[in-house]
Amino acid sequence: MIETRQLTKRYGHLIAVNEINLSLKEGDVFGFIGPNGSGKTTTMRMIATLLAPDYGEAYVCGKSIYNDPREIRRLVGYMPDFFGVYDDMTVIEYLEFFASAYRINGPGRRKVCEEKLELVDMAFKRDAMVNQLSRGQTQRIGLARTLLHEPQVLLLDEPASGLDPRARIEIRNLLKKLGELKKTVIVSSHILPELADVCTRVGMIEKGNLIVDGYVDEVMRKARQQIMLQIRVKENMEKAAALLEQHDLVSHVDIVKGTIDATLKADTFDYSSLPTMLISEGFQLTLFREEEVNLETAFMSLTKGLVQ
Amino acid sequence: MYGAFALLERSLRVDSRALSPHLARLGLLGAIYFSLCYALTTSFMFGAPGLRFFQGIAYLDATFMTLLGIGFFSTSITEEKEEDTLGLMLMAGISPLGILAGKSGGRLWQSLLLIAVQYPFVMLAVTMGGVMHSQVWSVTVALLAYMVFLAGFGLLCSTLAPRSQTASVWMVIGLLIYFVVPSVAVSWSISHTTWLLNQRGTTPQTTLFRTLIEGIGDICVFLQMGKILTTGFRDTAWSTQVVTNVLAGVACVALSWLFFGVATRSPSTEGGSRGLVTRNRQLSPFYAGRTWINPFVWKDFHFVSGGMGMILVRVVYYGGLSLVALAIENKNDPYAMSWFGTIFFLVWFSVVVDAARVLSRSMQDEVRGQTLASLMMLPRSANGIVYSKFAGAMLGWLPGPIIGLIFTIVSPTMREGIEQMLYEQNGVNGIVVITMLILYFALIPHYAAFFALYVRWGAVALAIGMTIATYFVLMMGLSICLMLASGTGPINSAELLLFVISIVLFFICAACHIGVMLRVQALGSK
Repeated sequence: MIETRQLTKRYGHLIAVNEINLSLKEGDVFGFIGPNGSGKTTTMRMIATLLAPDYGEAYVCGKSIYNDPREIRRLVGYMPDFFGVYDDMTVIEYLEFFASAYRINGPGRRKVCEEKLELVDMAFKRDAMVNQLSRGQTQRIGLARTLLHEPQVLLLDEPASGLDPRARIEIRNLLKKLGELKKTVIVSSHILPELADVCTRVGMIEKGNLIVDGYVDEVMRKARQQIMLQIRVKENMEKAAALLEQHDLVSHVDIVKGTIDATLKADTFDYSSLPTMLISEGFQLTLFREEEVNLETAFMSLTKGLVQ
Repeated sequence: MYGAFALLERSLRVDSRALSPHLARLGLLGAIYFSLCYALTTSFMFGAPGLRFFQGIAYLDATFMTLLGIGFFSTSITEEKEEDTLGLMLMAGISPLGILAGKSGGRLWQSLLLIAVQYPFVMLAVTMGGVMHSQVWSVTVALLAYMVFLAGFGLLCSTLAPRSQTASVWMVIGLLIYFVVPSVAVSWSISHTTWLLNQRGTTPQTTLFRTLIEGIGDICVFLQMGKILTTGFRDTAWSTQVVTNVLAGVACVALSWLFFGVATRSPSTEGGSRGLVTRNRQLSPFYAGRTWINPFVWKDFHFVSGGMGMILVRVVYYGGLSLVALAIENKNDPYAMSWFGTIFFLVWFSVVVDAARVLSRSMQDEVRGQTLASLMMLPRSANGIVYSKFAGAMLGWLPGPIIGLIFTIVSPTMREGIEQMLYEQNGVNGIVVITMLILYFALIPHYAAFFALYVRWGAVALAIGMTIATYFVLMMGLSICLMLASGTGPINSAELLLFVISIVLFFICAACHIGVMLRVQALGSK
């Protein structure tokens, strides 16, 4: 559905996107994660044919961004992170304008617009002026506009930004629904727990380089290459920590707020000998657990915090 | 006064670092250099080259300042209202006077620099002959005073108006009054006060009346420059025009300060206005209705050119002017005929300015609203989108040229004039002249559409200024080239000159089309 090959964009000496290779199938919901200025928006804009790459190639549904930009625009719905709206129009006029621009004409056009308004839960604002909408409502109208022409591919740049918690949950559900409808979605967000719920795949980008790309489980597994254990003993915490530090499986140990954080050596997955050793040394364990890995911790462990 | 200095300092820093103000000043010096060369080259045919050189520069300055003022001074406060930064400034402890002085002071300084930078060069006019040092000084003072008036009046409009567009419109109306009332007063004073004095004799009332009428005639900078540049001018530089303009400017600043709190209390309503386009079906003539098959034409017809409501306004405006002109045309009175000529010019000038306004708005609204990316994402060609937008905007503009054409054809004077131009004189020359004039007028909307993609405000004013500059550069540059090539003077080469100018103008228009397309695509990808 979407394929990029060594997609590169430079601004002078700055490499905004560096040889990104992506391959997404129908129904994939791809979470694009990275700090501000890491190259997410630039990548999306190149796939959306708004920005010409300096090097590399991208295909959407088999169409090249160089040869078939107009066909790609027919297939893609792109919602930028910040987009303007026509303040002097009503909501329904705004949607009808874009529907007509997508050549949706005739009596069905109004119906399509109203369906999309229902979908984003904005039907009650149908005749309101666009400039009277809140930020979150404008965001939803933008999403409705993006969905008007039933695109096969959706590129959503920070769709949840500015939304209240309820609206975020609704957007999350909508993304799940789009995935179920076999649409391919690339969605960028800074709110990582939300992405974990809806995405089938994630990619982490830093300083223009795609450093991780894979299914959510794979990425979590990668992040778990250095497992951290949280251990509490009833007495002699320092002694237990010293003992753990000497163990072959342990890389290093910290005591944080009354808990021993023991980081295991890379590629260590079987750590069953550690609780056995502690118990045999006479320590009474009150807590022994593996630190939970979510997208946030995965992001923190896999990226270096580099920005450009 | 900390705030005032902070804002002023920032403004001056931005100005000194930005390339465009330096280029503008360089461009102005270039125009002076061209005028100088032209005056020197043609000095063997006409006398007083210094006077002609200085006259050209002075009137160009005044025109440029007027156009600059409309776009530049009238947005000083409204741009902060639109960005919602006025409240932040007040919260940062900057006083209203500080904001007013800081925002307008920097702009006034930049504009004064434009005059100051050319002063040493225009002194060459004295050396060239035909003008005295006192005349150069008086004109410079008159221009500086006019600049103070423009800055003050622009600041007042900007403080009171909710949006930059409204402020610009108010400023245009104010300046029209500033130019028209003194001109009418002068004409009236010449034709009627003598009659009044003959009828009633010299009484305190008639003297006061005459002084008042003449005083009104003295406040306009263009009329004052006309007086200064007549041979034998000996008056002081501190004329009625200088005093009244400076006082009016200062009064406007004081009024801005007085009304600042009231005028800036409510947030800006930028972009929310639909003009005469209604949302109610019951007022169906002005209702936007459902989107047309070509949505871009529909949108720009209703929301840029104003839809059916503005078509009606245009019909009333152009129709009214034309009827008045046709009514006074039959009177065998030279005074009435001069008004006929003025109205004829006003009709066609309005047509051109309206075209420039709708085309620049068509582009500027998209840039300001940051909607170009959404448009460029549509499965349509950029050319198709842009030209559809222009077509929609021009659809609402059409009543102007249609009524103007009918007026020109119906009016016997105009018909006769055009026929004379085409057939009775040199036929080829007439066509070339008309082509060149049409291209000059067409250049204004072309420039306006192009500049609208680069400047936030004042694209129309900039377009008119650039068209005047283009006219000077082409006329002077090409006539110098032709004279140097033929050595026989410009009269024999006039036809060739106009033909070359027409071709150059055509290419400039074409370049504007290409420039708009490239810029739209570049902005859409940002």
